[in-house]
Amino acid sequence: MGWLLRFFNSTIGMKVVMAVTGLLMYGFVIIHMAGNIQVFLGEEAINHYAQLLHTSEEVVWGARLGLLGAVVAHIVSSVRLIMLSGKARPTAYAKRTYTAASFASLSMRFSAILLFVFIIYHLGHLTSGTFFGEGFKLQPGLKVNDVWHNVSTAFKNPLIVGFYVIAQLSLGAHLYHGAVSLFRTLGLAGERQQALVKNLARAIVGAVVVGNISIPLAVLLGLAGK
Amino acid sequence: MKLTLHIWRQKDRKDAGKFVRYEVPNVSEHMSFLEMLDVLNEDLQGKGEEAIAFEHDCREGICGSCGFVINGEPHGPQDRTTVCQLHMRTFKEGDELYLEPWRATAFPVVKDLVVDRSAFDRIIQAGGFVSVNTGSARDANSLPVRKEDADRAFDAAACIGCGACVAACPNAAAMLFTSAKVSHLSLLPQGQPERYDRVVKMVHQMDSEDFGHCSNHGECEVHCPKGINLSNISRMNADYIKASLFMSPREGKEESGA
Ligand code: HEM
Ligand code: FES
Repeated sequence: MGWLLRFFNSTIGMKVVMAVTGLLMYGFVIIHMAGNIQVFLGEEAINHYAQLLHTSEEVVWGARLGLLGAVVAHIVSSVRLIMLSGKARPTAYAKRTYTAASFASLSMRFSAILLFVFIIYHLGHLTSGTFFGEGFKLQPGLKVNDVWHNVSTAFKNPLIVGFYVIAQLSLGAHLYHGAVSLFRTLGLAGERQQALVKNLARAIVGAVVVGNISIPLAVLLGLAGK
Repeated sequence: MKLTLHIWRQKDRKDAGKFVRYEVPNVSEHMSFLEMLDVLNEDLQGKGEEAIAFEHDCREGICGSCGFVINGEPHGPQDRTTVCQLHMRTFKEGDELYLEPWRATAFPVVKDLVVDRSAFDRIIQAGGFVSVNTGSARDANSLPVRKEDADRAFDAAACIGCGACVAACPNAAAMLFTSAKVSHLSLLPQGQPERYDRVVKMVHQMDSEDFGHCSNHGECEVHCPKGINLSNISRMNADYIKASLFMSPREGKEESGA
């Protein structure tokens, strides 16, 4: 088993962990957005979708644990790599000019921190209701959230909407550089695939960010929800 | 033209080092950057001060000896140019320039702008060669190589090992250097028998030298005086992953992984 340990202790191995877990979370984020924009189809559609997701508690918890594992592995690897990076360049340059690095690539650590805070808040807000305050509701007679009611109520508050919008923009930055980066990390993108990868990343990240932001904004502006 | 330089002065490895300000009048636009420093050094020595140490050898952009950071850019502002080939016409009257050595734990400062790049040599020693007794040269064309592969290998082999990639990388990673040295052999038939052992050994040596990881910022590529391409990194990663996880281990080498 020494070979496995050796791989996961190499810088490339740690980056492979980040890329694979990032890809898993990517899958989740896309499905999550696609499911949630059903808010625009009305109460029955979105609440029915919530019931559908909870058809089997075993499956729900399987998915949750899988995602939790991915998040933990992603964070552990990122912390290890950031520590190595600090050790590799302990003295900063007096002057620094970036030519190729982008806002998204340079801000990965900061978008990550914001994402981490957002994920905790979001789970406590719309999943468990812990941070929701008064008025968090379950669907009558079921153990499933009344998503229609909760979303319609929560996003009347401009501060909450603002936080969701900022979090989605940082998700967009993290995901854009993440997508371009992960294909190189996994050795899947040479010169030929670069343009394709970038365009795909733009399309997917654009759809995720616009889709996600549209929900709280529409509710705030009275275009969706009750 | 007249320039103001802030140059990193450091006596030896242990010295903390600091920037010292120099005014350089009468800089000709035809001078190379190193010639401008030569003039400054003559002036300093005339005054009994110690000359500024910087590394150089060929002064024609092919040996990889020279290199320091000018205003945050390794080898200065001009693309695909080593600092020995950088001419003063790139700058203008009154410019204020900060000259710093490559900053990386793996490249300790020896003196002023000179760093010790032996870490690169050790990466090459770990596997950056073809260990066969070649005898006399083969007949031309007896070993066909696809044109595109020959071109890629040639592009990768253009690496002069100057260290600008490490200097440019926010993580001080040596991924571009190592991947160029891995690629120029892995693309050619002569490099095949040792291809997968080579990549594992070189990557592990690279990691043990305290270089950082690749975040795919792409700073190395734009500052490489030889235009070494990022796709070498992708190629090295693919080989490293395959060699480490999917290929049968070398006899008796299971635990060390090499
Ligand atoms: C929860 C908190 C998170 C933290 C602390 C975090 C941290 C990071 C950091 C620091 C990097 C850059 C690593 C480097 O220097 O190369 C990174 C890369 C990445 N992250 Fe995250 N991230 C988080 C959440 C997410 C989420 C939710 C997704 C996807 C939905 C994601 C997808 C990615 C991808 C695809 C990469 C690129 C991997 C690569 O370069 O190969 N991350 N993450
Ligand atoms: S001195 Fe040889 S490359 Fe500059």
